[in-house]
Amino acid sequence: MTDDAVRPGAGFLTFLDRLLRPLEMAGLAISVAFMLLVMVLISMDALMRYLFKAPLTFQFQLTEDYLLVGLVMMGLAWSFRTGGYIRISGLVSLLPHAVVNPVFRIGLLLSAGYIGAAAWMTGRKFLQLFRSGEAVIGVVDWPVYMSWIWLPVGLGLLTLRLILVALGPVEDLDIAHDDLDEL
Amino acid sequence: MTFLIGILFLLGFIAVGIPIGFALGLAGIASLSLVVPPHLILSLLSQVAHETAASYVMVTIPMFVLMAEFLSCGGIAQDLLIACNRLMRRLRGGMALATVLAGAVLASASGSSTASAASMTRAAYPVMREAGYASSFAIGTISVAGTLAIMIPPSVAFILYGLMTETSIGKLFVAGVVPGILTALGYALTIAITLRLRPDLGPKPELEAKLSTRAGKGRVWPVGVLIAIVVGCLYTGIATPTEISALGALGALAIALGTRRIDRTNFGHAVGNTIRTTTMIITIIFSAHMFGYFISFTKITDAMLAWIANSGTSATTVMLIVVLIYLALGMIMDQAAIIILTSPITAPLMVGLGYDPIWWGVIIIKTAEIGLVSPPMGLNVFVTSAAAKSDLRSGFFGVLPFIATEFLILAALLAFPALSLALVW
Repeated sequence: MTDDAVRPGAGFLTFLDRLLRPLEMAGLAISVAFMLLVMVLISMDALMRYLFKAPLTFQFQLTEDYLLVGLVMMGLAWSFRTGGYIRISGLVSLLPHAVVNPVFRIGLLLSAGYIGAAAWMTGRKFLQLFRSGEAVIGVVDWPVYMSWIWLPVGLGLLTLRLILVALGPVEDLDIAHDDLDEL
Repeated sequence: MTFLIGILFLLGFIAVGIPIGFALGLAGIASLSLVVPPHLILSLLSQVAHETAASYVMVTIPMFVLMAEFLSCGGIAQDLLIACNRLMRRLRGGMALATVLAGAVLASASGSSTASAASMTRAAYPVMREAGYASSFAIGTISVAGTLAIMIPPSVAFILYGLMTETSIGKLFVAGVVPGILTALGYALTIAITLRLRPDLGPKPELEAKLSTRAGKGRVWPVGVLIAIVVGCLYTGIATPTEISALGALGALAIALGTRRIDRTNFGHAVGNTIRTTTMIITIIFSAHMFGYFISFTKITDAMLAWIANSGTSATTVMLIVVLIYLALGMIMDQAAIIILTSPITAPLMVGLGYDPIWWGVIIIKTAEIGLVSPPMGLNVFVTSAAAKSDLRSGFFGVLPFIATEFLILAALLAFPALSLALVW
């Protein structure tokens, strides 16, 4: 019998997992789209600058403050679910088997608290900027809140994923697989 | 004392298996709570999260990784190996030498040593075994050939060092060229000497000669042209590393499409791997910045420099002790984590002692390179042995002669900083 079969609330967690996965995949799609856009924009800017002395003046601001933030934040939860993290588990594995999994779970819940706090604080900052309507004045007037919107969303998704993994089945606690089949 | 408590928090969180990207942040928050009020820590958290992600120089991480991923599509490593083997076919141990040469070329296209080792294993291990090489020697050669990616530009390790210490990434890349070439030559010499002393580890000449006539699946020269352009631009400073990384990724995609090496599945894997590597690294950097604020509060670098001055210990002794600590860490910890965790402390210390930060970056990366093949945690040996389905013990046995060479090269880099700095403009 697996740990999953006897764990209370397993059905609810599976339901939450099914809800979260499409959101993570949507986040990944945004992340990939932004990455490819960054690649094209910077290349075009460089080529236009060196060949025609006509750089894309909006490129720097758009890339740094908007695309890059979305690229990083929106891929966080999917990356974690598919094993995108470094963990030193050598010392923990020396502990008795019954202790290892609870230790991993507590560690992940602490991590969820840390990332959740970041999501909460960046969400507050986003709302504050949204209400103030602050903008960066330049070639194009960029609304600052649009730079921050990706943080609470991406960090929030990662927080939910961390909680789900922490409370979920044993086999998900140390993701060593390289799962790219869903792409 | 406060600094030690912070370090204990960090080691404790890492030891209980919390992913390093979160352990650093948790340790940063716990340690900062000893010196600043909680509301300041929370404000810092949102500010650091945004500043880390919205940093233009970070673009180099996804772009160089993406370039490597696109270039790795469709068996490029195998075709590179076949091309290099043709060049080396007249020499004894030609296939092993070709593996090192292909590793060096692949390193110029790949920022990741582990990815490079995995590609090289799939391409080189079966043919080396077919030619009669001993399994341990084949794994040793492939593992060290993979490490070249950490030193030869564009290297993600140099980007991380540059980001964490605010050192010019372009200059770091240039500084890695001579040590990278020196390392590749050192590996070639090690192969020649080992096969002279232990011919039983080497190939059967008639089998190796037969393999040199094997044809590749596609052209490799466009990859060579792209690499030449990327390295040339980095060296001459024509464009910024950020621009070169984006142009490199775009060029790699064009080559993969033009040579029909990429399909929908490959594309999905390439972009997926890139996003995963990027978010993993940037999460660690974001959290390392949180811990970095704590380190700044403690003024530990100033305290260490004052202590060194008062103790009368020479700068060379301190530097060598730190190098030994890096070598020890490399045996048990992930290389990216070591660089992100330690370089903000050791780089200012070394600059304070009068050393060049670019040179110190090369030294740290060299120790990381050695760590990649050192027992018990040498990641490249793990990756190569696993991909080759061979036992780990013989893998570590196979890298021993190369580790000896690595120590000689490290000694040369320590003794002659000009080897790293001569090309830096």
